[in-house]
Amino acid sequence: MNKYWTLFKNGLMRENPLLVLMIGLCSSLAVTTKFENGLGMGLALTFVLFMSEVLISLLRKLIPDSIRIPVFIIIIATFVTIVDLLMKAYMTELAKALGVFIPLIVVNCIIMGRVESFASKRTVGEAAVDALGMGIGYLWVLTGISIVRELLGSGTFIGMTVLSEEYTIAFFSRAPGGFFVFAMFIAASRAFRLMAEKKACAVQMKNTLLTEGEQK
Amino acid sequence: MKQMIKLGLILALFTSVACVSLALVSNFTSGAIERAAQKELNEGLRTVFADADAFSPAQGTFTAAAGVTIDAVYMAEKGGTVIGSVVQATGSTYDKATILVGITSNKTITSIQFLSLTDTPGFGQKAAEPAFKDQFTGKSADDNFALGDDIDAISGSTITTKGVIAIISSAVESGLAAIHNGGSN
Repeated sequence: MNKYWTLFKNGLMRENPLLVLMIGLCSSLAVTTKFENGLGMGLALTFVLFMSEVLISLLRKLIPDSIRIPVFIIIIATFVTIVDLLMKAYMTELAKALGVFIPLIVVNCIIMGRVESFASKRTVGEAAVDALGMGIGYLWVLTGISIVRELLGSGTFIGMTVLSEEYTIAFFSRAPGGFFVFAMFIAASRAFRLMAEKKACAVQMKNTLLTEGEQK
Repeated sequence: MKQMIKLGLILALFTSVACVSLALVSNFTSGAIERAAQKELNEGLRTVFADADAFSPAQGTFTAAAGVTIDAVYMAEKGGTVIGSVVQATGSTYDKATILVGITSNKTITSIQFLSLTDTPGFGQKAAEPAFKDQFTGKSADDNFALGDDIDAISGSTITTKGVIAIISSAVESGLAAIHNGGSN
């Protein structure tokens, strides 16, 4: 159980695909101007990542090594197309807002990377947990960035006007604002990690000092 | 050689399974997708031509001014008689715009609506705001949409303004031609 929890946590923070591994950035910066878009994109990617990792992990012994990449792409593309069709049918507004970035999930490095480096070598359970961790790791960063950008850039949140137009900064709804907010997220997560490491280090040192003292 | 055929067959197997599952999903969703597109189109048509109760696509090809394409022409009907038309036209502005223009059979613009506009935010994007686009409502096709006289330009976006006017006047021409020819051209 503990092993799965560590795997899951891995994607959330320590190896967060966006903040630490820094893969799959283009789509995430492009769609994060509105909370709904960030959430929709995050959910779509999590779904595709989960389904592909589980299926590829199930079939990993049946896929010959020399043609694994084309097989992975076929599987990923199939799930992406399913998401695309479902969104167009039942979530027209969201499909329109996300536009070309849904079909482009096929070439998102997060999915290809996790499938190649993780799912094709591990058991189904581990792959599923890894996919959930990575997917939710992507999702929370994406929604976080989009909340900040929507609030500062257009002054709205889930359709409500929070800031009146005089106080909004249009910079945040455009590409440079995306980079800026993203960089702030990276800096914050880095500071948080360093602090956690320092704490762990201090505890460890205290423990060794204590045991050394006991030995003497 | 044998290895190659084996790999090819495995790949073919994966592809066909993927194809079959996609065909099933597509079959399942195609109805809903079509309905959503139809609903969106109808809503768009209704916003520019509120008086009409039915729309039918007009047949034939329509000529447009240089740089403008007429995407579609719909005849607006009320109680079975044609009372005007709605034209969807795309053309270059500062970047590109697709506009729906409604025109009645007595040559009055009912309203215009931007389906897409990819100009600069804060400048050309202002064309889609009511302050600019509502200027066209109620204008007669005989006006020549002269800047300053009939239409106030968007400051800092003269190219967008001129592009939008070119698209609209071309659309109006096609719409009137369609009404004149009774829905076919």
